[in-house]
Amino acid sequence: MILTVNPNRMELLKLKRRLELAIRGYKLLKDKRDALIQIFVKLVQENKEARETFDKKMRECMNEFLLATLYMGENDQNSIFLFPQRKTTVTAEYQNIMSVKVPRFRVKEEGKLYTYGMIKASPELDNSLKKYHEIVPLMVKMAELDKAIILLTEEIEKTRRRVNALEYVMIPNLKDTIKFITMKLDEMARSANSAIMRIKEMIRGE
Amino acid sequence: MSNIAIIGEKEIVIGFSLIGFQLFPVTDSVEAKDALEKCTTDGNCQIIFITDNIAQLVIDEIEQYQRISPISICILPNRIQDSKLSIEMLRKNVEKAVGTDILFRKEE
Repeated sequence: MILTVNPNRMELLKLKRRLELAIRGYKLLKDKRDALIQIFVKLVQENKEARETFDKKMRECMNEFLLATLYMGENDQNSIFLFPQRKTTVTAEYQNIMSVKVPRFRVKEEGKLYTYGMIKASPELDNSLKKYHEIVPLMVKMAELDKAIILLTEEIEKTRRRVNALEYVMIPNLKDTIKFITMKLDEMARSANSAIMRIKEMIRGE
Repeated sequence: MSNIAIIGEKEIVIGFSLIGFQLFPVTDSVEAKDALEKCTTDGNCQIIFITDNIAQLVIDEIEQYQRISPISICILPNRIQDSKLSIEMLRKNVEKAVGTDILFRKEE
């Protein structure tokens, strides 16, 4: 498609500069896309493996916890679980992967874990709580990996669209327009030339 | 307040209260949606864990929030069988990014 511009030398120069820029941008973005995909594939494999082990461990923890709390009444449960003293927070630090800011979480724990009395709670509860406590870093790691995958997916999609837009729309359009302007300018030069020749002929004829 | 939230069935998530997470015990999709919205608009929350059974009810919302908010939403496995949902989401993302399913193609 030819862009709507005036066919003159100024425009031609401008378009040539734009074409140069577009080609440079296209090459850079293509490199970025390839690098992103490389990192992405590595991350996906890591995520898949981590997910498999995490699922298994988490399921064990859940089942153990359910068994431990099975014989507890509603009141006992409330008295044990409603007033926790522990507080777990995460602080996010951002790592830059090809201009995508991927969070890295750091876990911070405060307060006591076992806050309930010995009479109402069973030893199984202690064990299952310990397991829940041990799996927290894994959970946070999993959340981190999931987020990284989503952020990278979006960035790859965006970059791919840009690369395609440059490759199949922008650069061909600019090339077509440049060709059109050069042809128009040549045509104008030729017509001017022939006009001069005709006038010369007329003068000589007199 | 903790900035890790956990949404799910009461009998599973209640244990995490002693670990120090913010609890959202829910039973149906309406409650789950409310909890998700509360967590995402809260401004303090960094990670949301959601159990597989509940996630299945609000999968569209999860996908939407994952895209628009900086919060990390992670799906916990089902306690009986293998969780297909998290792997399915991973597969979807891979397809979106690479254009083809490079993870599970060989196994099928």
